[in-house]
Amino acid sequence: TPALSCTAFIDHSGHVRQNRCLSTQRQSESTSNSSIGPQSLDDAVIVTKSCAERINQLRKRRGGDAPLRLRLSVEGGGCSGFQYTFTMDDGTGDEEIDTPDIIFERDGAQVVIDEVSLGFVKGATVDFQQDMMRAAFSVLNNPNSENACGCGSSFAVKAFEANPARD
Amino acid sequence: MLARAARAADRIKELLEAKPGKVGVRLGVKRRGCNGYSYTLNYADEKPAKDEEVAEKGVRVFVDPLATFYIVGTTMDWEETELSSEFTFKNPNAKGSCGCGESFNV
Repeated sequence: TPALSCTAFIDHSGHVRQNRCLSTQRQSESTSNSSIGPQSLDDAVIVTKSCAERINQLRKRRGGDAPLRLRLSVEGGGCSGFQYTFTMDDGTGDEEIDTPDIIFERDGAQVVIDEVSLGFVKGATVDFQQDMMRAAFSVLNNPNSENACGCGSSFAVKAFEANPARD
Repeated sequence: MLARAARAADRIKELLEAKPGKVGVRLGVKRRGCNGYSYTLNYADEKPAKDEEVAEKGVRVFVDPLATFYIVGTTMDWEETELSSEFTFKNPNAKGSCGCGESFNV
C-alpha cells in the first residue's frame, strides 16, 4: 500500500502552494476538497472533537480567522527514544519548505504534520485532554508506538530495527 | 512546607467552585513515570485526619503524610500556555525529573 496518496506543500505564509498525488491510481484526485490529507484511512490521524474545539478557541483568541494550526512533530529524544512536540503554527515560522505537510481537518480546525513525522503517528489520535492536574494536547493510541513514557510525551517505535525507512 | 504561587491558588479555587461540596484538594505522590514519582491531586470531601493543611487565599490544600517527605520546600504553580496548562512543582530537593516534568526523584 502506498504510504501517502496526496500531499500538500505549504509555503511560508501558510498557504497550500501545491498539491501532489503520489499514488498513480489517484492522479485525478480533486484538490478542491477542504480536507487535504491522505486518502487512505490507515494513514490518517484522528483529530478528536476536544482537540478541534481547543484549536478553534485559540484561533479566536488570536483574533478571528488567524491561519493558526496545531503542528505535531516527532523528534528524537525523551526517555523512550522519540517524543511528540506540539507547536502552534501561524505560518510565520521558518519551517523547511521542502518537507511536505499533511493537513487533517475537523470542524474547521487544522492539525498539520510533516510527512516524516506522520510516518511515526499514522493511525494515532490527536486529543486535547483535560484533568485536574493539566490540560494539554496529546497523542493517543499510536499504533506505531510499542511503549510510552508515563506522561505520554515520548515513545518507542515498533520494530525500529526492521524498518530501514525510519532512520 | 509547601508554597503556592498565586496562580495555583486561583486555579484550585476555580476547580473547587465547579465541584460544590468539596472542601479542598489533596496533594500526594505516587510511584509512576520514568523518574520515580509523580504528583497526584484529588478533590477532598473533608480534611483527611493526618494530613497537613496549607491554606491560602481561602483555598485549602491537604498534603498526604506519605508525600510530605517528597514535597518539603516545593513550590506549586499553575502555568498556562496555548499548548498546555498545568500545575507545576518546583522541588529544590528533586535530583532529576522526567523530560515532561511529570515525574521526579528525590
